[in-house]
Amino acid sequence: MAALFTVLLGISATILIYFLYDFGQRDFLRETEAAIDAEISVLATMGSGADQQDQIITYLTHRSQHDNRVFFRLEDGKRHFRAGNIVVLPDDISRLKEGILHFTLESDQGKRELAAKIYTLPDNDRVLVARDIRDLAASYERLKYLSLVIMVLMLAVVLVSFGISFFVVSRINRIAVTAHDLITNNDLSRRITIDTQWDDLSNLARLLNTFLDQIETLMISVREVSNNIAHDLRTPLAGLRSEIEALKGTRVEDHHLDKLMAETDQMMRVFQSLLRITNIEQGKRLQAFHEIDLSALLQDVVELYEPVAEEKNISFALRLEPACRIKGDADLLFQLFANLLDNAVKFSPEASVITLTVSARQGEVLVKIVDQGPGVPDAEKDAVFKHFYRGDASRSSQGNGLGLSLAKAIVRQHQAVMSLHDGDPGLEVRVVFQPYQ
Amino acid sequence: MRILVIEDDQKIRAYIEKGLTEAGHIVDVASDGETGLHLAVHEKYDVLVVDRMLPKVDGLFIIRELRGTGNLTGVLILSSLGDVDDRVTGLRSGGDDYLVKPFAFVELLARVEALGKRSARVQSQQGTVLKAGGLEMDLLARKVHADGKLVELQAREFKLLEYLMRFKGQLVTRTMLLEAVWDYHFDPQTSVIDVHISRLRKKLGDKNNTIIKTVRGAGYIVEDSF
Repeated sequence: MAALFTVLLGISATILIYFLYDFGQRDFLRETEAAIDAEISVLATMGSGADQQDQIITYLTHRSQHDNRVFFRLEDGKRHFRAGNIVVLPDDISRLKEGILHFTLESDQGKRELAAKIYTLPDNDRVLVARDIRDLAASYERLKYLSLVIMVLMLAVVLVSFGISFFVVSRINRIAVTAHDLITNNDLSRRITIDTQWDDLSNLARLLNTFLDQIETLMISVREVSNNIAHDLRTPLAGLRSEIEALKGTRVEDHHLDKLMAETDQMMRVFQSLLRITNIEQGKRLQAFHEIDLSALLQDVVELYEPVAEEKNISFALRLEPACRIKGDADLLFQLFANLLDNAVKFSPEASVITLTVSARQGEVLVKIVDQGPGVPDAEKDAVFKHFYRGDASRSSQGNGLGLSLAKAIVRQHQAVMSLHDGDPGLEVRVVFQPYQ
Repeated sequence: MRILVIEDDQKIRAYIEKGLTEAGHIVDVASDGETGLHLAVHEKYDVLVVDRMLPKVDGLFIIRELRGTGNLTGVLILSSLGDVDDRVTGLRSGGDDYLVKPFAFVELLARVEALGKRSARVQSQQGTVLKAGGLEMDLLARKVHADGKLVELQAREFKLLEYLMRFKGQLVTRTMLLEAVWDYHFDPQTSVIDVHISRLRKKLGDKNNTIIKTVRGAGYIVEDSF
């Protein structure tokens, strides 16, 4: 590709230079030729015979006296000089073009460079009409010089473009090779090597590498999730199987079936939760967002969980600033805070207090849920948001390890930020929203 | 009840048809939107179960078409999309209830029967007093009497009991209660509803769960007489 491109560029450069050269030469001669032709046409109008001879000589003398750029030589059939200001023909006569001669002449005004045409009179005498082309020759030289410069420049362009295309093509090929490797070996850990920093292609390669990073992370998390699903469902499925097996040959009662159904329902719920998280993460519901009063919503959530908390003698302390409005989806937000509150109640010790705060401050709405439970160790603060993750404290309690994953998906969907902090004691969950505008 | 099921998935269709027939209903089925719409327009049904995505004619189109001709039959939309957006558009185009696949059959049955009752109620307006056994609920005065004794209920508990009483003799699932009483569509993960019910039972003096009965793995039921 690079070679082809360079060859094409080279060919077009050559053609351009040839045209420039040829055109310049022609154009430059045309004027001189026209002037010489004009002289000849005057000569041609003069009659014939002896009378004509005199007439021509008079004309020639007259012309050469008035115009020092014109030179003549009249010679007879035997090439002997008859009249004019070129007495001796120089030796360096060369043909400039078809019908045009070129030579230099030593004259009293110094060396003259001439272009000439020969006109043969009816009586076989010949007139050589020459014109000084020194000025023209100078500009012709200049043209030649310029053409040379252009030629050199073109050559440079050809070389540089060859370099660039070679560079670009080799880089593109490198990307292609990496991509090909990636596809054939199914190895997502491969990356495009980047050796320079300044060019656009390295930029692109860097971008592609970032892409690959993201895809790899996603793939890993998908693998992790499917492993977890497999693991999380294998245990209940195995349990289900052995229970069905135990029923073999016995009279099946309704309560047996109820138990089996409850277990399948639990598995179905896990799937449903996973589907919901995926749906929310895909984020196609932004258009359903509208103005929501967070304080009122939290009040509803608290009301729902109050009886549950009461069973453990847990009380809620609410500090809800009125009119903390955000843009969101009520159902999802309810789910978010239900999950967070559910966790708080689950991990709170008997007879403790869960504090809920909603406040608006400098362009953000902050929700804080603080419990007096065991908290989450720093090492686990990120991990708790992963699918199916269950911390040591939660291993024995009910739940499917998806509550915080779902919460995180909802938070991200609302372009909010959720973070875990150490309460004193317990866990402090902070969710920061953009206020409604 | 006469129920029309419009569903293109052969397995789900057979599953619903079998279950509803066993529950004592007369069931017609249609496998595509065109036949479904034709049946729904020309026959009289108590409840329609309509899948959202149907070949030939879309499920939502059928509902809009029916509502456009003044047909107010209760419609339960089935959807595999499971997104709140879809839920909202589904209900907005005239559906009465929305169920996401996969579902437990009890959930479908409870909702279908509730819908049947609701459309029956539209015809014969229910009074402002609900009665079930020794329980009496005055919706205007917002007072509840259990065996003649006044029971103090919080607003949410009142709504909970009201919903159960409206559909007395019928199974009400936890999700139905969440949607109707709390007005949020979400998955409660743990058994929050159960705790609310047990609190309500305590206030009603329902010691042996005789007023509000638990149906294992499904939901609750308030029998007409107990």
